[in-house]
Amino acid sequence: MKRRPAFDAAALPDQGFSHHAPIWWGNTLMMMIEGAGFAILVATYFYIRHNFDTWPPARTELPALPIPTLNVAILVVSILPMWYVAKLALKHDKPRTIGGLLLLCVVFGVVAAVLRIFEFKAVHTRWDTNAYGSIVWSILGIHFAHILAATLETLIIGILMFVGPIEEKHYVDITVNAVYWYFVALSWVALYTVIFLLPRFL
Amino acid sequence: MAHAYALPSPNEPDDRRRFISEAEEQDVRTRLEQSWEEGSGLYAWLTSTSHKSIAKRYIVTALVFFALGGIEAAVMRVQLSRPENHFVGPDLYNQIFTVHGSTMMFLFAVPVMEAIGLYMVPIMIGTRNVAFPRLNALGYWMYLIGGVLLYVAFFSNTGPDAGWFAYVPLAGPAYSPGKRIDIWAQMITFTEIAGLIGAVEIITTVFKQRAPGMSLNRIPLFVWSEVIMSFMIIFALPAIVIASGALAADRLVDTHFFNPAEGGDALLWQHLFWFFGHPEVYIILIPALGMISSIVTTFTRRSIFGYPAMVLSLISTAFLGFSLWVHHMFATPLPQLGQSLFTAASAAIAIPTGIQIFCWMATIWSGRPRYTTAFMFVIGFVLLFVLGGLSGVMISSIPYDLQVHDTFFVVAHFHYVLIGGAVFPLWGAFYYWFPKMTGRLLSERAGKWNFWLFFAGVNLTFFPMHFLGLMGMPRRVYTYLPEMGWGNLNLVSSIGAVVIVASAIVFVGNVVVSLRGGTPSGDNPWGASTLEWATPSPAPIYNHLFIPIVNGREPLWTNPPGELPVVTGLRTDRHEGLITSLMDAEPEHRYEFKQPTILPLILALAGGGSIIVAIFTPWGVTIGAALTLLILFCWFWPTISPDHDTPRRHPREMP
Repeated sequence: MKRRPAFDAAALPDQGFSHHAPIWWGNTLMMMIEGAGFAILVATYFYIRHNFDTWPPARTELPALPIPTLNVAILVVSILPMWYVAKLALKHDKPRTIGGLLLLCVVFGVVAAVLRIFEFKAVHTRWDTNAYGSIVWSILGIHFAHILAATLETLIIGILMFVGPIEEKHYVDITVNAVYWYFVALSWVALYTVIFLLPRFL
Repeated sequence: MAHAYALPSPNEPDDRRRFISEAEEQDVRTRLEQSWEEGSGLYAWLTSTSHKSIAKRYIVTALVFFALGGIEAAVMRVQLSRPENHFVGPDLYNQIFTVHGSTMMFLFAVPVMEAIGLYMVPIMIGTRNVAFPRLNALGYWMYLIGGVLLYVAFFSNTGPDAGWFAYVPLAGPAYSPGKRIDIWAQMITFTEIAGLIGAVEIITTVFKQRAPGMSLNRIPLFVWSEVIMSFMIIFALPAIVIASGALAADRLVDTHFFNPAEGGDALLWQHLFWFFGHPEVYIILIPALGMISSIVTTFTRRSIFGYPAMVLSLISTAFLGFSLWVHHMFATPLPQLGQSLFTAASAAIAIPTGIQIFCWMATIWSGRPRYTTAFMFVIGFVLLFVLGGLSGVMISSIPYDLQVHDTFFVVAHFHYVLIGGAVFPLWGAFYYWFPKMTGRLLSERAGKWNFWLFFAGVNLTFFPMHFLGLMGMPRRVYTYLPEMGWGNLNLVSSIGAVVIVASAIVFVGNVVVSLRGGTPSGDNPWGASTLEWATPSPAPIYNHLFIPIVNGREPLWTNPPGELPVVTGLRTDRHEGLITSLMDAEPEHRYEFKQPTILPLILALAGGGSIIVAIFTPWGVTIGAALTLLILFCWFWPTISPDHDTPRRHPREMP
């Protein structure tokens, strides 16, 4: 086999952002997997609904709204600093500003995680009360794991931005981490609607 | 700092040299070997992130499980060979058929189809490794732990015994106390994680790492089939993750998902399971169809007839595969209209499958077929799969299905489609790609014996089961009375199983002998057209000395003979690959693959250990989550290469 050089890759850049980066695809596929999982959970929720005359089931109070609504607001607001972080990362700008904003997002994440513990109480049921309690707790719990994972990841990159050294690929990681953060926050808007709002109408 | 580049050469046409000299090639080879070689020894083996060594383990492990599942099948056939046999008792028999089904579906079929993809796809698309090498290693270790868990439990008389689809309420806490079903549910967790990881690897690798010029309409059909299978995995497996999690929770922490007394629902399990379970069948079938296309192309010496129709058929099969799950539930009280829809969808799947079969026939008709063993297995596939498809059309009709539901007719049907549809193409693929994996050809003579014994054995074993089912013999019974008149056909079926065992022995013998003394194959023993044949056999750890450039669908046939246009200028001092665009595969940027590490194994042991602890106490989940986060912290802790590039202000700017 005689090989004929036809393209020189040496001049190509070391990294690409957005859908040019493999890690962006890895993250997108992960969100598809988890999105499919959330969809299955919601389908299960509505399937179980048909086994009860009233929803929530008799002798179960409607889920309380204040803390869950506050938490969904916190998650949505946390998108803003994260979005700004991603914008800065695209320009490879100001590692310390990026790090600071990432740590701010970590604070949002920790607050959301703490409020989640109170949300378990706000649904006025337990996982072992009946099938309603089982599915509601499952949705709360599985999304809880997402908040923890996204917060931890953000913490790691936030610290890195201060201690360095920083490579170009870390800026790619920041933008991909931001996409995952949006996913965790926005998927909760849908799940919050199902768990806390819909029982008032079903 | 200065980097070690493989032959930088300017892109201006005037400066291009005609060919790379032998000496230059040798120099690049030495440098690539230095940076890619993982060394030998146990530690190197445990830390390897090479897609080929991981996929090879996957294949060998899956074949070991296939053998174990086959031994279980043989034991069942001995038990059923005559009425009122007492070779195994009812309890052990329940465990055997459950472990047999679970092994074949979760530990053999899906893993082996992904494993062949993880081995061949990167070589076929001309890249050096899968996109996320460490994650890939994690997937294998999780799969291995899951399989070992099932068999350790089985050999200590704790094997699951509620069937491979573990229907509630039988599999629920009330009717299956003890740990048998929990073992099953956690084995599922392991294999799902491994399956999803493999899917992410394959899609990302194919989307972003194809050789320059390999636009979407030039991707080999086998690679297409692996991508489509991976998308099916991504949408189907979450259902079984949720379902087996809910079952384990019902059994362990008293949730009520499947408990009708507290608003749960037994049919919910069937919906969730089959929403995964039916696509699963296509997850197994679709890569097999891709293997057939590769084999047919090579052994008819022409490119496939109707390439766009083939790709679209694969995609529509995948879509339709998601709308068939209820045909496993025709015997449940679902609304008539809904059942009719699923009947229609089940029948509709014959259209894309038919298109493919006709395209292969047209290819063979207009080509020059060479009847090698691999090609014989393809022909065996057509015959068996058409037979299985015919019984499939029969049971897609609800009145008929109600008659034969849970009888041996169904057993005959799905063994014809699974063995005919998946195992035959897979064996063809073994004969086809074995030289690429080992550098040696399998013996064609033993291969013909292997094929004919297998073909005869499968028909002898499973064809009588159609009649047994029509005579009313239910599946999953450990014995039957002589007055039923099922004895003779069962004996024929058991004799068929002996023939299958004989063919398996021929295959193993062929592999062992050929590994030692088989004919050396050279780079391209079949005169095939795709990129995996443009590199030595077995492929070096970096796959291709230079990333090839593709000008057509069959590059090795359309290039001037013996010539290969290639990419130069990738760095040789680190694991570097080329990232190309999704649609047209135009070069975008260079990419560093992660280096070998022990972390995937540690994570699998910690995460896997805690999943096993969770069988006994819910604290397993908590401990596991903490350990997993800790290890992930190490995993994701950014590594700085000693020769790292300082960030440029503008990523597109040239240095």
